[in-house]
Amino acid sequence: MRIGTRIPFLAATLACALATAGCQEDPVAECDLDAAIVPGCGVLVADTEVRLGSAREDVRSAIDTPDTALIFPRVGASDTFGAVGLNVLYAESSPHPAGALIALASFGGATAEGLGIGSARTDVEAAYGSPSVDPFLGSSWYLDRGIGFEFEGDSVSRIHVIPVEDIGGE
Amino acid sequence: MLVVLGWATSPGPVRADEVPPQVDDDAHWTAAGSPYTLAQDSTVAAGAAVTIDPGVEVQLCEGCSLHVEGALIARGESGQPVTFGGVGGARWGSVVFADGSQDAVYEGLDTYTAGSVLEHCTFEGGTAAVQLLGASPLIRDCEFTGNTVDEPQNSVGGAALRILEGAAPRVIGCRFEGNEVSDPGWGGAIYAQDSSPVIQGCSFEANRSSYGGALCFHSCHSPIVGNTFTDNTASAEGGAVSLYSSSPALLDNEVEANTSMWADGGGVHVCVDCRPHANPIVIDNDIVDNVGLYSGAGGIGAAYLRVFRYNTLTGNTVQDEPSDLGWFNELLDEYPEWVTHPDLSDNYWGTTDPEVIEDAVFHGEDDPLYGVAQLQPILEQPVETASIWAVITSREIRYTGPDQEMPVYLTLYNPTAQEVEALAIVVLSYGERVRIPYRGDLGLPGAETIEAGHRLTLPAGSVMFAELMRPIHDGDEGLGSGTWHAALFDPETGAALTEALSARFVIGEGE
Repeated sequence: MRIGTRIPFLAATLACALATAGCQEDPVAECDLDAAIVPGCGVLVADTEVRLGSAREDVRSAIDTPDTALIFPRVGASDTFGAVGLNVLYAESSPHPAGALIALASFGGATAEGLGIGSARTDVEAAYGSPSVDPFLGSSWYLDRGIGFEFEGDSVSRIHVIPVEDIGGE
Repeated sequence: MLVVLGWATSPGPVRADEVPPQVDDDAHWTAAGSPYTLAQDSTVAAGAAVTIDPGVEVQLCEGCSLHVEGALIARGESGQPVTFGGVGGARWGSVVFADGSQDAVYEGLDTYTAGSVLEHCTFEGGTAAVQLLGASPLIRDCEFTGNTVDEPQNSVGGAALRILEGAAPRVIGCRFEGNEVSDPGWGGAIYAQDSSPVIQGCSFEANRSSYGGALCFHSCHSPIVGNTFTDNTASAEGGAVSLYSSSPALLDNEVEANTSMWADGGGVHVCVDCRPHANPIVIDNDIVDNVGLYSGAGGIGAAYLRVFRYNTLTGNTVQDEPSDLGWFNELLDEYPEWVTHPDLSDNYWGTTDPEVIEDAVFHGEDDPLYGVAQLQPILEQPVETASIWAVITSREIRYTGPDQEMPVYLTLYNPTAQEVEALAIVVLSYGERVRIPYRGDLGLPGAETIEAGHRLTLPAGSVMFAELMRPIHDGDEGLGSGTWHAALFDPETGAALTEALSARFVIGEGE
């Protein structure tokens, strides 16, 4: 099953066209989901593709009812699907396109390089090189590839799939 | 006076009244044995506990102090306090809790179960009546009146309560009246430095010092919530409160009719020139009818504010002219516009007339040397009831490192009369794409870390404070600038219980 079809993309585009300045388009990522975790693109949950830019409603209908669903004022929305080990962060504005897909401890898959939950920090850096490091939490980020890693000790605890565009800080 | 030979026997009532220089074993001071007199300094030794019953008088000779290296359990009752005073009205010293003394132990947030406690005690005529040197007793429902510091060393005041060296006491429901530190001193009633006191539900009246007539925080980041400050005076700055290099959450306080005789902040003074900056979060406060006699701002004077929202500011004056807020961020400084030109909207200024409001606000519209505070939109009515808040802040606005500490603080406040079940969510973001939900330990009582965040119970009228982390900046600009966010949600429905509050920071010289 594939979600994040062109329909929500077009709807989002139309909504943006009608909206005032500041509306951002959030196209669904067009890429090959040839691994369970594809940087800058999406993840595979069982046989279901979840792509960056997918509307919240579509993600939910494809996976399940989330265990926890939040609207975080001024930050965005969040659904946690504990059974499949996925946390999806959405933009705050409707249709809440997915802006980050976070593979949690119970997420079973890996990147094409074999990086998954529990991989060693050294394996991550061997695959992707030297990261940008968040000094507060020590997470490693490859913004030009669209992927980030959180660690517990030296083992990967969560993997973030994010868009590759708009590189740069605030 | 009698000296009890059986003093060192433990535990049990003693029959006589003179306290020996050293208390090596547990002791029990009873109403029948009262008063207990210190004719010299006395020390409660490590491992020993002195328990004081309601109604007991403790009298200290001139300049004498009670040093606590073990535990002091002084629990009076309403109408039957434990009193600490000078022999014949003498100016006595302090009750000094040493680092290593037994801290209060709590079940849950603040249900006392063991350790040092001062409850329903009165302290009158002391010199820095209670000093906490890295010690954290519970101080609840106590009264501090007429205590002084006459010659403050290094300007350290705190005539009633001096909190130093990493102490983290809970100071709840206390009354501070007529305490005074002579010039030049800081904190007429309370002076806290490099510590984390929670100051909640206290009243401060007619206290006096040079800086912070009632309360002075120096490098402290813990909350000041639900207090009343009235008729306090600073001979220099901060009639009620002065904040130096501190970033506390000031929530739900009443700051009324206080006076600064020289410069910034008849009510609240947020140090303009400090490095690191004072950088508080100021929400749901009433700052009214405060007076600056000479210059600066009548209500609050600041150059850095993390959040300033839902406050009522009206009737404050300097030299009899309206002066609710002074914004003194000099544009020569190195900060981005969101620092120099802050959003100070959603406050109530006692009127909806923008010209009247502008007349009571000093900022870049009055002198281009300073940033312009954005005041609109304003509230058309005062906020009558304080809200639940999750306050997140990083210590600094800018980190240039290397080796710079980067602490992050979280305050949760529930001013309601109901217990609140909440899901606390803390998120660190960089740019539009990177969102990192914080899943580390909150360090708060009863908080359970789950995949979605942290579940916890906020008791009615509670405030919680934690330092979430203290990483060291390695000098690498990493992901650049970012923002911390925090909010509380209903754990069952996911509905937001609070607005999200945010704290931006800059890594490196950019922005």
